[in-house]
Amino acid sequence: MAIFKKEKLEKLQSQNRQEKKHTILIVDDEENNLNVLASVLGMSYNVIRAINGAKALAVINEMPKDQELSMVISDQRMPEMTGVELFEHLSHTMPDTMRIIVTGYTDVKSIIASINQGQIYQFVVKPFERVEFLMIVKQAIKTYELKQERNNMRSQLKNQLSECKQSHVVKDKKLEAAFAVLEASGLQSESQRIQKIQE
Amino acid sequence: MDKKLLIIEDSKPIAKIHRHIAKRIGLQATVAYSYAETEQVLNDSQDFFCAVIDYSLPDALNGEAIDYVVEAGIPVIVMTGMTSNEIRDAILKRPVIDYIPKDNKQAYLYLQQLLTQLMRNEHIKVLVVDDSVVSRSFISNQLCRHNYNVYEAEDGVDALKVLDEHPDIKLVLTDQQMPNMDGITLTTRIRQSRSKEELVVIGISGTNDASLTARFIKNGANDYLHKPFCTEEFNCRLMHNIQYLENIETIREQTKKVEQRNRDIAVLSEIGRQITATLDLEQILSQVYQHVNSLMDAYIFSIGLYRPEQELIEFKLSIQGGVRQAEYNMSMNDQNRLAVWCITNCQEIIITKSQEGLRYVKTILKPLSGESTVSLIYQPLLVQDRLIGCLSVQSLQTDAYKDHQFDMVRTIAASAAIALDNAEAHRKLKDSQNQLVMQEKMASLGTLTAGVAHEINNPTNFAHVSAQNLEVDLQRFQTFLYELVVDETDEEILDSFKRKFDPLFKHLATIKDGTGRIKGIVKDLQAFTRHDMAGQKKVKIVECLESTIKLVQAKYRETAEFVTEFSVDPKIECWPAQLNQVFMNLLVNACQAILIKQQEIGKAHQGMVMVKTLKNKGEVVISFTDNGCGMDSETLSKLFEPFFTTKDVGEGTGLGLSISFGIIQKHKGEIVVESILSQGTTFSIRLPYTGIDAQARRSGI
Repeated sequence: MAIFKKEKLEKLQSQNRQEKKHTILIVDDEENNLNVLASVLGMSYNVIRAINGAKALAVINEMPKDQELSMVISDQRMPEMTGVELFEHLSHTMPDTMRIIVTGYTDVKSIIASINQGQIYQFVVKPFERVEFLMIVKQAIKTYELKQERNNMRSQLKNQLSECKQSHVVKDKKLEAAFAVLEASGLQSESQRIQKIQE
Repeated sequence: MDKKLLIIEDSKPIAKIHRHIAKRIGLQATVAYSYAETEQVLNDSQDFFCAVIDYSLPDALNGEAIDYVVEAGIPVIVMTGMTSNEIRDAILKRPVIDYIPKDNKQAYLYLQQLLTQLMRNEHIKVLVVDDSVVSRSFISNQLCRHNYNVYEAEDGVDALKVLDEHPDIKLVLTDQQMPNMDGITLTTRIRQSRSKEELVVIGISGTNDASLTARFIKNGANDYLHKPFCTEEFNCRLMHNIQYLENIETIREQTKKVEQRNRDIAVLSEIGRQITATLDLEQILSQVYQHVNSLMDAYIFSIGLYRPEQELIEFKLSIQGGVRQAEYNMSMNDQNRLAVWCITNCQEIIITKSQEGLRYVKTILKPLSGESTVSLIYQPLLVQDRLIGCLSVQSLQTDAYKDHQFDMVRTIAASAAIALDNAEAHRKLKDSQNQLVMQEKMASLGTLTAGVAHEINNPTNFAHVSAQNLEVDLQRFQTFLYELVVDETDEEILDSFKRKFDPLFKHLATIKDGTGRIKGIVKDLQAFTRHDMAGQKKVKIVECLESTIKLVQAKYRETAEFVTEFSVDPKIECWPAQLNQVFMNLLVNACQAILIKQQEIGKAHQGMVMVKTLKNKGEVVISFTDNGCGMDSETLSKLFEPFFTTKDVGEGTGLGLSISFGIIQKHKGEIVVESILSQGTTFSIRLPYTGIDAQARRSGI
């Protein structure tokens, strides 16, 4: 008699299959750290890896236009380009993307630099606790989503505004046409009165 | 009691001179200006050592006074202004010591010499050897008149016997022709054991044999006299020979003194060498005592070090009857203490009799330590002009110390001062060296951790997080597996699944524990390099202490009673969070020490932790005292070293006190510890009122 049944497996797999809405880029010169981060985040997010700052920029460039990058998590101490330097760059090119620094080196200077130059969302000290880290990431994603929502609403507002404007133009034209008809009909005093009202 | 001299002289100025001479050589003079007065004086007392008589007096023109005094049995020296031969003969016919013509000043000098000689002669023993009773007693009389201590012998054999009985006889006068043993043989025999410098032998003979003189001299006699001799010549020769002996004696004594002095110098320089060879205070103290004690009666011996800043004398060494006494301090305000006088005036004190101390102080107090003594020496300890303390040697006896011993104490004090000063300088040097080493250790540890922390944090991080990932995944896998199994699966199978999973979770827990611990160590290490100036505030120290004590009390209420005594509560510019960390550290350590002691001797031990604040010249001193298990000197010496711990592996990182040390240093303060094994420990923190100075603030930001 079989212990496992295929139907159960399918059912379970369909349950576990979550829709991953967000993409996170992780940057660390240490392969092991990348593995660890990937497995912490992989369950809930799409994860892209980069082994250093330059690679990270390259990865971002190659990304399809329609794919959004919700967050970049980077190590601070890396050869050639530090996490803060990378973030300083990204804060100009993609300001909405959330930036989190992970570092084993806690000196005041790098914290201040990461806040001021890299405009980071959070500073995480290694070694961290999985649960805490996931919380931070979740919060950051929430913030990102709020930002996105704000952006969407803003553009919606814009669209509505331009639609309004458009309808105004149409209405104006209709009015003008109506006036022309009125003038032509010779009701001058009457039309003058209407004009006054309009003014 | 001085000897008495009778002066019979009608001239007052001359009497005055005589009186002056008597006084100079230590005689008590009585003057009679006439024969009549002489009678009165002698009626009262005849106890005179000698009389100096003027030949003619107004009421006794022809020397009647001389006869009168001689009859009274008093040796007489005649002074006369008349120098005629008749008078000279008339005088010398009488049994007088000498006669002196007072024609010039020389006469008085001669008188003085003669009197001195007479006084000395009393102690000089002379042996007269002659078989003829007449001639023997003639010579003896002459000698007696000159106050010599006279012995007689009738021949050589008898003489040797007397010499054996009285080995201190200084002079032998011997006749040549005698039965049994003649003079020359006697001389030869004497010379076998006694040299010319030890015993003077003068040969006497009545024969006209000129070769006899030579034979006497060649056989060892010092001199030779021919009978019958002129008494003046006899006296002069005698005096001459005795002076010779005395000169030799003086030379010998001087040589002895020089030798003694040389020995002293050698001993002292050896002592000086030994004392200054060590830099160890205890060794110096005990060596100084041993040397002083070997040279004199040091029933009480003490060495006090002067501490001007505390206004007291710290008696580091105090010994009574060879037993070391407890150390004690003497206040410099105690004006009635000899040691205070010695230090204040920077002068030695020498007291040889009781009550002599009143020359220095108003009242003689009972000593702070030990018995009251009679003979005392206090010697200031000086290095160049710098006063470092005092040394004292005391005895219960009166007049316990001689001149050369004072000198020795002075010399030893000088050496001791240098040695003690060196030891003090060495101690200071060592202290600052230790502090430097400690600071160096801290600094290098700081640099090390700054670099290493990052390196360790990375692998720790992925190990730590991986373990957590694995745990999550494993749990998911377990859940997945259970949900996958069909509902009617055997319980046994499910149990076997569980049994397989349990150890896996245990392994993971172990890994997590390990990485967690590494995380803790690195975090502690980073406390060294933390440069955050944040949180710097001006706070009341007592508030910090009270809040920390409350926290610790919550956990250790059962272990110890907490007693506080806050005599000051200054506001100090500091990092309160960091100071609290230090306080917490010390308090927890104190409680743990008490717990250890309670484990050792049972719960009955009432634990107590005392926290005090004190003011001390621009500083606040915060002390934490416990009555716990204490520490041995080895533990004490390593206490602030990073990673040094007495706790079991895993219970402490050995960084707590190192971090505390670093924090206090950052506050420009100092932390010191005193501890007695199995009695308790006191940590004292000194913090300057000024708080963190400007420099620290700059370098921090």
